[in-house]
Parts: sequence; structure tokens; C-alpha cells
Amino acid sequence: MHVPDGFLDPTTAIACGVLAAAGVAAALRGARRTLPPERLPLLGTAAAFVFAAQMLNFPVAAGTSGHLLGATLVAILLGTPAATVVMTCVVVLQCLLFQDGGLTALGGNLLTMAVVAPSVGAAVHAPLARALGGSLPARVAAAVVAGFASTLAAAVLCAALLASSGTVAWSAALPAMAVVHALVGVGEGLATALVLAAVARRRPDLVAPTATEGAPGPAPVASLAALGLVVAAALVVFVAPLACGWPDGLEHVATSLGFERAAAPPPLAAPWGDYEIPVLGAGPVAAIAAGLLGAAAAFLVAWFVARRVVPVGVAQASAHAADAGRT
Amino acid sequence: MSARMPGSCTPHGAAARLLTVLAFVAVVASTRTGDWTRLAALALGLASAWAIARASLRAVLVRLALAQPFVVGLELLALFQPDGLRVAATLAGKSTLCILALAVLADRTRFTDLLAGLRALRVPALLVTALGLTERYLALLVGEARRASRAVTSRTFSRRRAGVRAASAAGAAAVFLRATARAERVALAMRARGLR
Repeated sequence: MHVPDGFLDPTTAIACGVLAAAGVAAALRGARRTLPPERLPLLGTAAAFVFAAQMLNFPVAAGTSGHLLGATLVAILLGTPAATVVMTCVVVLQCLLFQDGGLTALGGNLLTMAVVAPSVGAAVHAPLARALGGSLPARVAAAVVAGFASTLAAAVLCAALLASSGTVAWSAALPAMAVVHALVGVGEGLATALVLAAVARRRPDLVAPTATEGAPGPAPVASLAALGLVVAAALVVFVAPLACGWPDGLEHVATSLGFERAAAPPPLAAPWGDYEIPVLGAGPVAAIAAGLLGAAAAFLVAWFVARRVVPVGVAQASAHAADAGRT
Repeated sequence: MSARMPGSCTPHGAAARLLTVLAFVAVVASTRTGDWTRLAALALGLASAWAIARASLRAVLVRLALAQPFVVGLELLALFQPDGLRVAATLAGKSTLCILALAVLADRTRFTDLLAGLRALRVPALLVTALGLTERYLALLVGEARRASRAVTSRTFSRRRAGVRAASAAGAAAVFLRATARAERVALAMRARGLR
């Protein structure tokens, strides 16, 4: 998802830069407020951890494997503002030290990977974990869905940036990014949940729900399924208008404002051109199908993780701790 | 040429270098498809800056080789469209110039100087400190992860995916806990050296 130099037009690049700067500034203020001073160095070491975690392979299915992207995991463990600062460090270092992602595209890359990815991850995780009862298995299962939603949201935004730059047609960029990142998202959700459970096994205090997340309650598996349906429906409602409404809307705006550049060659190249997804066909259908299939897979994985992966001892310990906390 | 440590420069010098590279990259990125004269002129400018900075040829080319695969993928996709060759060639030229410019900067400027430059550019102190700590502990934690990954491959007898996944997760969790513990010690050290 690292956009290189030359793929964003000046307007998009500058707009992204301003938005990302605002987001990072707010996150810095938030991190200073929410993190105690003795935990501030964690912003740096956690960013180094994200680099390091990307060295570890997580086999997903059918011979493919992925690695942790980290935004959701850090958002769950440290909170959204701190996660934005951590991911900012990661993205800036990837650009300055390893030439991964462009300097003019830094604003866009920060916006997708440092601002939107952790925010969406945390925004999905907290209410979902609470709805599932707030116990450790619930929090771990919610992490699967949060990791998936965060990855997909960042990818959709990335496609929107490329499309609004005129680099790729929206009708090509959205399905291409959505299909690939629906798969990546399932892997990310799985890796996030597994690492969260492994951290909980050693240091349950680091994964304990914060005070704002409310008291834990019972977590029946049926409510997980019901909630899954609700969130999947929400995803369709969210993705469908994006897929069907936007391209026409954008093109209409472009033509009516005279942006279509009939005679002049496009200032920026269009890498995907009329590219189509061979199996699913081009356009909104593929995007919606990818979103739905991915969401369904994420919920299957979440259910599996909740049932099988979370160590029973830890779950009971956390239930006891929760009981102790309530009495 | 053997690797040499770049000489140090003042914060304002580093800031000027950063801004120069940013301006150069912005000009390259906004080049139109097929504007070969402009790309050639920019390449000439980059080559002279490279010569003046006396950047290591080998180090810069290695960085280029590491950064290119993803960009090449995008450029290959660009071939499948009308006039694809021209578009792909322009993209290849642009991304190569931008990566080279950043690689020359990274090769000839110490990272601590870049941080001082960022501070001179009024980047918030907390962010600069976090960036410095990230760079400081990058090699350490990546080394931890490599050892964890080697342990996983050497101790995972069954090739079942679940086993590898659980082991990788345990490795990542261990690295995270090391990062947390390290942060606590760094905080103590910072306070001992008079922070706040």
C-alpha cells in the first residue's frame, strides 16, 4: 500500500499532506495526554517492534503467507493516538531510510496507514469487544474483525487517492485494491488476534480492557454470529454506494468542471488502465463480493479464534480478574 | 568503494538537504508522460549532486534494487493499456530518479543529523524523539524477530500451518514484550539524564 513518488497529482498530494499533518498533530497531543510520561519511549520502541514483526511469516491459506501490518494491534494495545504516532514513525522511516513509499506521497501514505488504519481498527474493536462481553476471548475475536476492517478501509482510501489523482480509473482501482486487501485483511485480522492472545498469555495486564470499555458481561457465541451479520450488512451498505455511486459522481464532476482533458495527454500515467479482475469481472460487483467474502471469512476466523486459540486458562483467569474487579 | 561514515552537518544544513530533495522529488513527480528532455535534465542534475556529495555507488544501487520490485509491478501493469510502453517507461524513469535522490540523501547524511534537520523544520519534539528511538532500536528488535523466526523454523517439526502460526505469534508477542521492557528502561535512563 506504499504509494511511490509520481503516482499522486499535486492537488491530492498537498491535500493529503495537510490532512495527515492535522491527524498526526492531534495524535501527538492525544498521546501526550493519555500515555504516562514513563511510557512515552514506548512510541519509539513499539514502532521498531512493528518493523520487526513484519519479519515473521503468518501462513494464511493455500501456500500464501502474509505478515503483520501492525496498525490494529498497536491501536488495541496502546490506544489510537499512540498508534497513529507509532505508525507515523514506521511510515516516515520506511520512506527516509528504505525508500519504501515516496516523499511527495508521504502525506497520502501517512493518511492511509498511520491515521485511517489505526482509527478504523480501534473504532471497530472497542464496540465489538464490548458487545461480545468484553472478556479476553471476545477481545481477541473482535481483533480479527478490526484488523480486517482496518486493512480494507486503508486500501479503499488508497484506491480513492490513486483515482482522484487520475492515475488509475476508480472502477479499476477499487476492485483491484478491495479484492487483494480483503485477502490481506483476513490475514492481518488473524495475525493481530494471535499476537494479542500471545501477549495476553504472558502479560494479561497489557491486554486488559481500559476503563472506557465498560464492564465485561457474558459472551454467548450466538451473539457473535448476530453481530457478525449486522457488521457484514453495514459493510455492504458502506461499500455498495462507494462502488456504485462514486465513479459516476466523480466522472460527472470531472466532466462538468472540464477536467477530462480531451486532447491533452494525461499528466500522470494510468498504470491499471482498463484492467479487469478476470474471475469476478470489473467494477462494483467485484468490490462488493470481495468485501462480503472477506467479512464472512473474518467472522469465521473470529469464531474459530474465540473457540480454539485463546488459552482456556487465560480466559478463566481473566474472567476471575473481571469478577474480582466487580466485587 | 567501501562504506564510509558520512561527515556530520549542521541542523540547518540537514534541513536544507531535506528541502532540496523534497523540491527535486516534487519536480520529478509532476513530470508529464513522455517529457524525456525534462527527465534527462533532472537526471543530469541528480548525477552532479551525486558526484558532489560523493555518495557510494554501491550503497545507492543496492537501495535502488531493494526499493524497485514493488514499483516494477505497478509499471508492468501500466504496459497493458494504450500507449503503455511510453507510460511505463516514464513511470520507471520518474520512480528511479526519486528513489535515487532519497538514497543519495540517506547515504550521505547521518540519521541523527536528519533528525536535527527535522527539529530545525519545527517538527514536534515528541515525534522526532520517537523517530530517533525507532531507528535506535530497529536493528535490535529486528534481530530479535530474526532469532524468533529461526527458532520457529528449527523447532517446528510438523509443517501444519496452525503450528507455524502459533509459534510466529508467540515470537511477535515476545518481541513486543521486549519492546515494552526496553521502553521502561529507556524512560528511566532519560529521567536519570535530566528529562523533566
